[in-house]
Amino acid sequence: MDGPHFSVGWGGLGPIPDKQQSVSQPWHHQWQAMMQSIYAQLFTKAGAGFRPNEPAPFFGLDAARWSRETMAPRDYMNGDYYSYWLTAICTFIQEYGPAALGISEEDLVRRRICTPQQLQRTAAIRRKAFRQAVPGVNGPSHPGQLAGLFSSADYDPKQAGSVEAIGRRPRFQVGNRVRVLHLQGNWHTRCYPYVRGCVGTVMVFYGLSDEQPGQFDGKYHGPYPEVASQSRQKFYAPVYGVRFQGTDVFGDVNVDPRLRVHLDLWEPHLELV
Amino acid sequence: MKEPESNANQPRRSFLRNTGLAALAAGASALPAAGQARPAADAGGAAVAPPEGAGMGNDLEAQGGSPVVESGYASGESPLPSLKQRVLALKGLLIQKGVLTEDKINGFVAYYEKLIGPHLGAAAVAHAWVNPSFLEKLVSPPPDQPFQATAALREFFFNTTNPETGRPYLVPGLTLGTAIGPEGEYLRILENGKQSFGPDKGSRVHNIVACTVCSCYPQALLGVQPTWYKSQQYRSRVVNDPLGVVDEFMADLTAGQGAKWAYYKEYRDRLEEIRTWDSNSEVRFFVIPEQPRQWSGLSEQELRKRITRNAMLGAEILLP
Repeated sequence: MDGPHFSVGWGGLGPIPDKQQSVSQPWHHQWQAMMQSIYAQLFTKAGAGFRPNEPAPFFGLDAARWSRETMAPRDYMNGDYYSYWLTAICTFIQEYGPAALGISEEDLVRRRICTPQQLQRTAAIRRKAFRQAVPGVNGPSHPGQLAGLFSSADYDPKQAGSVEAIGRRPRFQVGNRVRVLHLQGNWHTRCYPYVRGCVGTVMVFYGLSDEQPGQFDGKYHGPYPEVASQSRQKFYAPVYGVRFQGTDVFGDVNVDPRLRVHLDLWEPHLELV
Repeated sequence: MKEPESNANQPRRSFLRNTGLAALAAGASALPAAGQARPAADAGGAAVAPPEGAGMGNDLEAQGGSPVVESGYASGESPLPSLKQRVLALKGLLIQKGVLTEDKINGFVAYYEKLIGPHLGAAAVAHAWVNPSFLEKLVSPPPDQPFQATAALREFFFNTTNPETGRPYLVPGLTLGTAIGPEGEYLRILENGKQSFGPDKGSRVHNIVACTVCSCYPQALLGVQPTWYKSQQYRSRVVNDPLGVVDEFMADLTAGQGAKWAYYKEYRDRLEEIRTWDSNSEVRFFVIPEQPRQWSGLSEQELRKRITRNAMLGAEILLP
C-alpha cells in the first residue's frame, strides 16, 4: 500500500541524525531495548503459526510491515521508529490477540497503548485489501474461490507440488531486460513505487527451495510477501536481484550518471521486455 | 520527566480528557521522534528531553502532534502517553498474560547488546583482506549458490577464536537455530573500491546498503541497527543521492581535517559506479570496505580494530 513509508526521493527531512551512534550503546534508552526484544520474539513465534500444529494463521514480518503501512500518515510522520513496531504488535493483537495470546483490543485501549481510532483505521484498510486482487495470483473474488483465499497453479506449493518445483521453473534468466509493472492496492507489496514502470536487468536468480530446519542449502526460502502478509497462506514466487540505471529511475537532473539502483523483485512484479 | 500522576488526580484527569485537553492530563512528555530527530539533540548519543517546565504537558511536538492541524478531532481521539509509557504498558500486559517473561525479554536484550555486534563483521572483513580466497568466496558466489557467503561465514565464525573471549566467534547456540544469526541467512557481500573478482574486476565501485521502507539490516554481522539507518532522513535520500549521503557522513568524520577530506574526495572522484542496495526481500547486504593502502602491513588483529560499522554499510569509507 502506498504511503509515507515509501519516501524515497523525499526532500526537506533534514540532516541524518546520530551518524556516530556509539557501537557500545545499541539503544539510547532501555525501553527501546525492550521494544526490540518484544518485537523480535513475538513475530518469530507468530510467524511460524500460533495455533498448535497449525501453520496458519501466522503473523510474521510481512504482516508486521503491512501493519506499519496502515498507520495514519499523520501518525507515521510524527512517530518515533519504535512506535512503528508497537503498531505492528497492536495489529497482531487486534486480529489474533484473543485466540493467540488471550489479549484483546480492549486491553490495549484501556492501557492507552493505542487509540480505538487507530485500530479502526487499520481494520478498514485490511477489510478493503482482502477484497482486492493481488499480482500474480487469482484473487479472493475469483469465481469458485474460497472466501478470502488466493489460488495459483504457479505459486501455491500445494498446487505446484513443492516450493522446489516452483523454483525449478523461473520465468526470467540472468541478463533479461525486465519492466516493473504498475500496481496499486491496499495490500502489502515489496514492489516499491520508485521503480514501477522502469526497465532493469536481471542480475541474479536467488533460487527457491523448501526450507529444512537446521540445513542451509544456499537457496531462498522466503514466501511471496503480498500473500504472506495477509496471514493465511504461504505462496512462493521466484525472486530476482534487478539492477537499474539511476537515470532511468530518477531522471538525469541532479542524478549522478554513475548511479546504479539494485532492488529485489518477485516474478509477478515483472514482465519481459 | 514528570512522574505519572497519582490516583488522587483521577477526577481532574478525566475532566481534562473529556474536554479534549488530554495532552495536559498525560503529564510526562514524549521523547523527540528518532525518525525525524534533530541532529543537535543527539550529540553524544543520548536523546535530550525538553527542559524542565518548558510546556511539557501541552507541547504538541513532544506529544507527536503537528501544529498545522485543527485543535481537536471530532472523533475525540486524543494524544496518547509517551512512547516509553506505551512500550512499558505493553510489556506489562504481555508479561501479565503469560505471553513473554521478564527473563526472556531481558535475555534477548542481552543477546543483542553483548553477543552480536559489528565485531563479527569486522572480523570477517579483516580476514577477507588478508585471505584472497576467503574474499572470493564472499563476494563471488557461483550463480547456483547465490548465498554461499553465509556458508563461508558460518565456517569462519565457528572455527576462528575471538581473541577478546578466547572462544570461537560463534557456536551453534548463539545462532538461534539459523546459519549465523538473525537476518544472516541470505547474505550478499559487496566490495567497495577496486573490485577484486568477477566481470567488474578492476573497476572502482562504491556500494551502500539501505532498507528504505523499514530497517532490514544484516544483524548477524553488525548487531542492532543504529538510529541513522532507521531514520527517514537516511531512507529517503540514500537511493537517489547516495554520494550526498556519504558526503554528509564524511564531512562529520573529517571535520576540520583537510588531508582526510582530500583522501575521501580522491576516492569519490575516482569511482566509476555507485551502487545502492535496497533490502526489500529477505536478502541482506554487507560491505567490505576498501582497505587503505597505508594499512597493508598491519596484522589481522590490528585491522579488525580499525573497521567501523558505518563503513561496513557503505555510509562511510575508512580513513588511514
